[in-house]
Amino acid sequence: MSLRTRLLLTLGLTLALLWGLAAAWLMRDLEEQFVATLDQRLAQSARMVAGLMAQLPEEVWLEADRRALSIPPIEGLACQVHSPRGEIMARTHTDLEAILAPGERGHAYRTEGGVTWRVFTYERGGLTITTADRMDERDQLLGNVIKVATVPFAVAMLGSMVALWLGVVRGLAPLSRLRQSLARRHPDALAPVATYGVPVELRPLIETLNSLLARIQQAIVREQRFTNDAAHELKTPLTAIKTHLQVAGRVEGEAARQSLAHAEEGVGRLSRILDQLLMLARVEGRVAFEDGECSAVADVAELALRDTGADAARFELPETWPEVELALPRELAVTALRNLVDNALRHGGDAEQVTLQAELGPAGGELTFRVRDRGPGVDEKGLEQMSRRFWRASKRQGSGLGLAIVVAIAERFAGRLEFVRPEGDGLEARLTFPVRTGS
Amino acid sequence: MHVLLIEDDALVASGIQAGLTVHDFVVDHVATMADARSALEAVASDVVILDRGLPDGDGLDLLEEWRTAGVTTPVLVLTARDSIEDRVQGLQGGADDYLIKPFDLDELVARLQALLRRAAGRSRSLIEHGSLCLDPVAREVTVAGQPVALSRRELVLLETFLQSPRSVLSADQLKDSLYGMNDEVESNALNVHIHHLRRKLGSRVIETVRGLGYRLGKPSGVEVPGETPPGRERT
Repeated sequence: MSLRTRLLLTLGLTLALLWGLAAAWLMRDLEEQFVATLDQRLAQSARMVAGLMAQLPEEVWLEADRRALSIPPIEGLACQVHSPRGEIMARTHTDLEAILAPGERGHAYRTEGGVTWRVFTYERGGLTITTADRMDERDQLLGNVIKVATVPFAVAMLGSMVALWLGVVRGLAPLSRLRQSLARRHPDALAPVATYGVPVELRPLIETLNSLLARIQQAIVREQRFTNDAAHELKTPLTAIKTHLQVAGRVEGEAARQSLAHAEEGVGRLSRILDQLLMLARVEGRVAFEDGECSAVADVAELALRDTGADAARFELPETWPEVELALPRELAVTALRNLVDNALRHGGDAEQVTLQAELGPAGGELTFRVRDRGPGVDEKGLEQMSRRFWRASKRQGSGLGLAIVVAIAERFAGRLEFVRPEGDGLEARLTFPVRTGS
Repeated sequence: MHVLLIEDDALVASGIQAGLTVHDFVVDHVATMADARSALEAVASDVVILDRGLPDGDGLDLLEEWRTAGVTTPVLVLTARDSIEDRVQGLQGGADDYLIKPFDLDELVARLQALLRRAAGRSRSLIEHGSLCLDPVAREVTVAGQPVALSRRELVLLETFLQSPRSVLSADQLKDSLYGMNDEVESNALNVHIHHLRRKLGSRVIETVRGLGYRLGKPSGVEVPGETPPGRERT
């Protein structure tokens, strides 16, 4: 159910109910008051007649014994006076003897000939006075009063409904404008929503929405760049393979053999890039890596150095490694360290040594590997870009994914990777991982 | 035809170089924009193959630089970026054609031929000159329908003349179209090739312009092999 329908229904029904209750209450009170007022009028008329009768001279009564006095009738009101003997002394109507016959004192209803009367009987000084009202006249009067009271009520209720409708529709207009502007958007459009003319209550919502859009935009740009870079990195060796294979089909002998060798080289490169992309995807995804192997620092370092396939003489290693275990799977610790060492070997100059150190953090809760080369180093701008995917210090080496993988591993296992420019030449990479406690 | 290949990936470059050489192109390969600048100045290239992602910048910047400087050599941009935006950007940046990696060698050759043809102001791929007809794709030469056997260099040389039928070409220009920067060229090699062409197609097929170089002869100067026009002696 839309917010507008809900608001209109809730407020409309509540208003109608309240107005209805008030009207019913008013009607009941009005009717009671009306009956009481008319009854009072009937009683007062009777008393007034009694007062008049008391002041009439005796001879009037004597005369009246023979012939009842006739009182001029008042609209809707009948009156009859009985003597103590029960004779009619005075009356307004001659045809209402039964209705106006003396009975119980006080108010009563009497019906004759299909017409109901309200009758009041009063006794004073031996005289019994009855007064009566026609009920249908009373009802007509009450009907008129109610009619007069209802019209403004209905008008007020209708007016408040219209006001409610207008208020809700106008009040929700910014929301429906927002909805329409969002619905009209191209699915790919991520431009911020305009906050101009938006009520204060909605502004935080739109600002949140806009910051979400901005974050999505950034993520998309990042993904796009990664996809473009990945496409480029995959297509280049693919091009080499395809071209060399086509050449191999067109030439003979040594040239063909050489082209095939080149194609094979391309295949090797392609498969290395694919391996690294898959590794990156696995580390960034939530694939479990638990291999059950404990990541003792000495083992990790030994395996990583062996994986690089470089001559042991190129490494300058510490006497002993700290005897702790890293809090991440051994496979990943080895991959991360190997990528750093690979990098150092590649950029550190052909014959220069690469220094490896490992030291425990101040509280012993983490361990930092330091890998230092003695190559030309990297400038400030390069330092910022180093771990960006597919960034390479020089175009001919590596896939540009090695450090991105290290960063991904570090991020997943609460570690970190830093680069510092040490005194002298070269570059030092510092890879920190938390240490497994309780072992 | 002399191709300047600007591609930073050595493996891709060696593939293209080998593939184009099979199709009688002379290929010079450079890997950076800086080298490309000096190569284009040093050697008369007929067509340039330009990779976009170069170590010292975007190939399109180099292209813009050349176009601003008035270089009209046809340029085919080679790239792995395949979005429409990239392609439009490349063509608007002055590229004559755009080829996306990985490509087919035949397509690359056909596009290069088309660029050369367009640069020479022709719309058909066959080049005719009197009774002489050269098919740059099939690498065949016929005179009055008779095939003529030419060596690879002779064919390239003849093609160079046919591409610019009214120009006087200097010996250096002709050598550039025949040899790459790293080819060893014997000093009289050009003369030998011209001599062979004249022997096979008639002495007036190529005219010597003294002190300047050579030029393609008049269409009527082409001789049907085995026939010697009356009153003409070989020189």
